[in-house]
Amino acid sequence: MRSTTIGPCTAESTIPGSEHARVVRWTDADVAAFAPTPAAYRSAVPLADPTRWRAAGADHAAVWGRYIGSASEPYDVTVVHAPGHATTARSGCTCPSRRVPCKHALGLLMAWAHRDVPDGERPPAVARRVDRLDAASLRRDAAPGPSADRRTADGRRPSAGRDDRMAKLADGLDSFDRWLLDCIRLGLADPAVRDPAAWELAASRLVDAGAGSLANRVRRLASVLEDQEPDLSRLAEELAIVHLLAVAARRSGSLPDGLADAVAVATGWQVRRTSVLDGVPESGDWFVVGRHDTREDRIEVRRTWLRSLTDRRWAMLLSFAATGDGLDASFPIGGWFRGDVFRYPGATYPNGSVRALVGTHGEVGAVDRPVDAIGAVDVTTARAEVGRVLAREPWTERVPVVVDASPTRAGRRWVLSDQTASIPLDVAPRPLAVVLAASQGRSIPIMVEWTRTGAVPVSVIGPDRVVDVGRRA
Amino acid sequence: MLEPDVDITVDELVTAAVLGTDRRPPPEAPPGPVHDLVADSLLSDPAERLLVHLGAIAVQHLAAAAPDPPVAPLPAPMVHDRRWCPVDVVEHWDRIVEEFAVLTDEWLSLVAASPWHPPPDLAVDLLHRSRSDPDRRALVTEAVGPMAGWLIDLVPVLGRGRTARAIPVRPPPIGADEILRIVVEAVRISSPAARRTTLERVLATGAPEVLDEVADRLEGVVCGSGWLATLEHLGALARFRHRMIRRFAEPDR
Repeated sequence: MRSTTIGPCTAESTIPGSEHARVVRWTDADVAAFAPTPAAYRSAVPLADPTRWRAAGADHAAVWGRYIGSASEPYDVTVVHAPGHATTARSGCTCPSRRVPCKHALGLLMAWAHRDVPDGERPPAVARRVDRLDAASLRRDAAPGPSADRRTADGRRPSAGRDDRMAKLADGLDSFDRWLLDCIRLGLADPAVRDPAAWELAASRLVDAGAGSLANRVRRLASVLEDQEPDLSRLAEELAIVHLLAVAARRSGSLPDGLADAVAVATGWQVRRTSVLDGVPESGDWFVVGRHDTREDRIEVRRTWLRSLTDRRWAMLLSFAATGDGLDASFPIGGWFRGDVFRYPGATYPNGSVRALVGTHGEVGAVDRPVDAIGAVDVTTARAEVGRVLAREPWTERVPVVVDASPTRAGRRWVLSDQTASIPLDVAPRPLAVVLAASQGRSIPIMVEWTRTGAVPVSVIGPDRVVDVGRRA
Repeated sequence: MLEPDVDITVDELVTAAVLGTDRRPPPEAPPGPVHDLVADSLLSDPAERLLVHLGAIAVQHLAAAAPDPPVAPLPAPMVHDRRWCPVDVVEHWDRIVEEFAVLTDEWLSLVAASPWHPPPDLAVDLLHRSRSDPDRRALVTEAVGPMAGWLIDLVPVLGRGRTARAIPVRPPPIGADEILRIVVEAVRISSPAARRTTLERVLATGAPEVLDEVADRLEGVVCGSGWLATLEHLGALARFRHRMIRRFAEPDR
């Protein structure tokens, strides 16, 4: 099975021949954080024009360039950047401004963030300016920086072990939670809280701390704020869940193992594929029930839902592709295979999370047994299944169930109903039409993702095939 | 939907979150498990208490802790005993869309006359695509059956379409010799694309029983490379059409 793992959203490149190979490029949010005031940031925007810069370059620790403006002489600008840490960067410029960082330094950093400054070898003159900035910084700072920023005598960064990662994650979560509580104290209506740049900065810092999944949740919340009429109730509830995760992650040492693992993964702790495949598999027959595609930035994400024909446990396969590259189609909807499924760490099941990888498996063929073998339940029983999952992992955003119900209308809302209860449907017109066409007023088995906004149909289990109604990216 | 007093509390919580707990203290939870959860947290900071309270409610919302009552099902469209098209018949449609679009109307007519109707996803696709083509819409409506009007009423984006005309009448079938005579005369059509289209239409109206014979004779023609691909395509079209028609003649296979 073809799949790609994505990590935190940093822009990185490699400088050939350099001992410090990884350049972690700043984003606009980092530059905004480095600016002394928002007005200073805005005044630097025109200076990000790449045509104004000569002999510009960047490496793992510095960005440099010569600014050609209206003055008779150009200005030489140097910025020593600590990757992702706007608070410890240093800048120098030959312009007469007393402001530090000046608008030339900010403009250069913006051009770098916009990929208008190439990677390169540091020229000797730039190296001397960097040394002067470092020396000035040492004179100012009496105490050493955090361990992640400390360098050895020859300027190398010590390799970050697991303990360092954990410490960095804890620091990042602590800082994030303090920011979140400040937002609640100030109020979600406060302009400073509604500022998209503040949310992007919070998300970026979570990424730097190694909490990429949490950062993605924060970014999705930020997009809610940008709506004309934001759903503040949903936003507030989601913030509460994000707070829960942040607190749990900081206390993971006192949690039971499975729950601690689940918290770590939900926060963004990267688990190596090889580690997962080294675990104990669940071997058996698996039915490919449905798939659902979404797009996050320029990445398309596919969730493929499998259900064990032995014990009806669920497994979710995640695959990723850059837009236009084509998502993994190894497991067509309605097929089945005999194989090994390895679960990621988590608490949904005794042996792990619903997220999984498929190991050795046979050919995926058309299902050769009644499709009701996957086990559809009524709405009330489905609710109980959802409740059991949430009791173990309350931050879960979607829970798979197969419900035997019919789509119908309750006033202006579409719902799925049977004789026991009803739940709202969250569905676009085309998949709704397909579900209606399959149902024609009768109850039918429908696989849905149970979410806060309602049941999202993923597939309809027909008499001799599965009809795919999952969303396309 | 949660209990009414919980709903009121949610509103007050969200209001406190929007105004800020510095200005508006969060409400207390009504007695119950959520109240106990917040109390047990021993948090003194109103912002933290609000987030714990809201988190519990968020989980309750997701779990549909108090689901809505059952709702009556929709009235069904007219009762009929037509089943979903078998998988291989749908695969014929996929091939038609990909290679043999000239057979679209015939496939729809065959479905309309069969004990089948298109499966749900195909039915919806057909209705949506035909909403601005009255002739095609008439055929689609016949193929989909009584469900078509019912679906359009419920999901207006499928398009009411322009007023459907009567079902288009197919021309009488022509025999093998006539087909091959037209193929030979088509050499006078200078545009390869127009030539191919003309010949496809001819094969689409050929009598079913002569299609295999026509395919054999086309494949036996010695010709220049300019014609070879066209003749291969026409031969494939003829055989495919014959298989398609035979399948509909044996619905119980």
